[in-house]
Amino acid sequence: MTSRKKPFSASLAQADRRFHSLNLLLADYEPIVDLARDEAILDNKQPSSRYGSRDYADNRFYKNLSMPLGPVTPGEAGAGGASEPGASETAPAAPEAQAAPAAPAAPLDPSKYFVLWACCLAVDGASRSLVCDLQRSTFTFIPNVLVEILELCKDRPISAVYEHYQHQHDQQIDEYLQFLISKEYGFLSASPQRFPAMSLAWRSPRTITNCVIDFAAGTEHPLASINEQLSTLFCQAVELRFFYAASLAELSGVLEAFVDSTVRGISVLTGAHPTVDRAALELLLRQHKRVKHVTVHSTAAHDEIVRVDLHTTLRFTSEQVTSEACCGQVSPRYFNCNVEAFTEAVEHNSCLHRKVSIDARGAIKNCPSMAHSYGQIGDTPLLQVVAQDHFQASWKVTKDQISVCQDCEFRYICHDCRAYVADPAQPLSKPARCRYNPYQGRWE
Amino acid sequence: MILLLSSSSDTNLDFVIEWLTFYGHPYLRLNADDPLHDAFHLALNPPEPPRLMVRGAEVELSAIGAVWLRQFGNLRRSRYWFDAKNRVRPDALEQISREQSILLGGLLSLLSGKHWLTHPSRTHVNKLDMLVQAGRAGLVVPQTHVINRKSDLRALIERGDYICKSLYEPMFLKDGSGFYAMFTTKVTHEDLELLDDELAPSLVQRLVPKEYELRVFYLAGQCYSMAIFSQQRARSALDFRNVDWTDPPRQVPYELPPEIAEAVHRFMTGIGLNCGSLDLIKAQDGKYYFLEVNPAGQFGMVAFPCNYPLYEKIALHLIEHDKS
Repeated sequence: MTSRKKPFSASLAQADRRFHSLNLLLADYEPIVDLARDEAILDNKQPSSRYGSRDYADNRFYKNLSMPLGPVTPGEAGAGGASEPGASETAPAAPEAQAAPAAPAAPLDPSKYFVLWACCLAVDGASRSLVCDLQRSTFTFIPNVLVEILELCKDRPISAVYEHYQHQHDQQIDEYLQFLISKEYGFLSASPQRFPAMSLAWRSPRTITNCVIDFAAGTEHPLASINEQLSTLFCQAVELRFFYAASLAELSGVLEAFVDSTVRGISVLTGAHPTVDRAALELLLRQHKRVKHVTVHSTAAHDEIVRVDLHTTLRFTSEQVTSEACCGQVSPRYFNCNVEAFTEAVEHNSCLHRKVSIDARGAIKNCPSMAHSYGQIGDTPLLQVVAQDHFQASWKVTKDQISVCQDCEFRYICHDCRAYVADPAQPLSKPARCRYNPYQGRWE
Repeated sequence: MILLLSSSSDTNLDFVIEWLTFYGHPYLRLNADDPLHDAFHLALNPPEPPRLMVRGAEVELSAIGAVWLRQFGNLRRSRYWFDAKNRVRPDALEQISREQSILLGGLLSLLSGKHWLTHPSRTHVNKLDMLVQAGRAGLVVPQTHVINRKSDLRALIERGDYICKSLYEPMFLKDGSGFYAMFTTKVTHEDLELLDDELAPSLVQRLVPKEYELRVFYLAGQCYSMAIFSQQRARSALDFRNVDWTDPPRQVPYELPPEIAEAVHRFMTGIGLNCGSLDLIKAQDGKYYFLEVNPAGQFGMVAFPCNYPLYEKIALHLIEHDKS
């Protein structure tokens, strides 16, 4: 135990110390490392009368909205273990065992059980498999045979796993398990019954969890009514997409409609306008704490990502976005490797489930890129649309039903696209804009 | 109707409110700080029954069947306090705060006879008493001492490792651009040099070498447990609150051995709590040690990592008892 750097007692005169209790005297001084960060946490607040919260806000529970733009830059993929297209594509035979000059690991006690942490889930693919770490939002490739070994590990000690393979592969099995232990994906236990699997049930009381609202020049949505309706449905996340250069005053006017709302996170995509510079946006973000991402598209060669605070990012890109056809990209940078996203994808569509969209012409749809309209936002209540069986049909399309995707190791962390599919004659074909081939384990 | 008594900064209620709406059950949320902002009128005129008007609407007290009581207070963390603290003299603010607590206490007494999720008489527990009660219920507790002489402390730490923690809830003393953090800490011989021969009464406990830590959310007989492998990180080894959130230790669902779950149930029943969060340690000696119970449990920290539907369970518990 290291000595205290600056205990509270040191700030007291010797004669005053006896008036204090021990835990106070030994309380150690910690400088506030990042005041701006701490203030951002405290200040992340806007009211919601729907919940009766005066200081309501939370950054944890909003759906991670897709940001449909931009090249993937290393280290930005969101998932730490994300494989970028073209990079480190082969499944390691003895994963990273050679890479880390690790101290020789102590031999495993074969009488014990190997337990994968409940938040680490193995997903098998056609050519390789993944361990998805839902606590840390990362994943690692593993060979398919390791998924088989992990399955055996669930109900027998390591010695019985050796035995299953007639002791032909004891050393290899050890290496695999040591690898998982070194990555903190699993541990050895004598009492595995104490460590049950995590339930993969996804349950939510919210009728709608996320909404996309599109704007073209001249679009006039009844925003106050939309916010009111979305709040009745307990919608958590909204993405506002402007396919033109909206002025700061326009953006501000739109966000004003969401000041009192159940929405926990708003993402804005808008074109470059002279009034929409970095300073103006930062001010706007301070007024509207619900806004977590702003992407400014069609800039004149301005490509930059600015982290405003803990919760908020600004992004400038020269890429042009002129319509909803920008969406539907599939890439590791959109992977969502957390408990909520993973469990939702197991039984639901990872893009459309509990989503409602309003396109630039005011049509209510599952997704603005889809053809079918369920009515106009001005005269059709959202509640009535989202309750329809036909509207909810696409919510139930899982990756396990989609050809190719069903063989892909990324299927529970990848988001789907039903608007642009590889073969329009086959509604259950893979997203058209996915370039990953799970049979080769390669991005093409 | 279900009455939700809390404070307007408590987001845990929001998630339960969503479930109550999902099940179509009527509720009213009354925050402790609402009377400082919204229209509020309590009329006591015996022998007529008391009347309560909130935001211009009459609250039908007789229609309330179940009450969830959770952090009904916390004035210092309210918007009111934030706005008032620079406009009201400190002593006057203190007085308003005391008046406010009489109002809240009076409201609670109007509701006697309802089904309570956390009875008002049980919202504060005594750390020392809890150790005694836990021991009676058959839970193992760490050897505990309250001392006020350095010589006694020295005698203890010469025999083994001891930690100190606050008798009350710990706090952070703000100072300049930092704070003094009252975490659970091990007492070293070096620390003795910092002390006078006497000190204010202080809690020290035998250090229990952990295999892992457990957070148990208890609700009406059921235990929802999570193991925290805080030993994975030096920072959090003695006190999980000192965790580095950019690299957290593993937190996973846990199944308590039946005899421990039964002891927890006996303990909670014995102290009259139908809901709360317990801190336990699975020690390297194989035993389960009880450390503390928190009646207003932070169950979100268990619900999300373990994917336990605790918000729905609470809503269903309230609905069930509101009807009966």
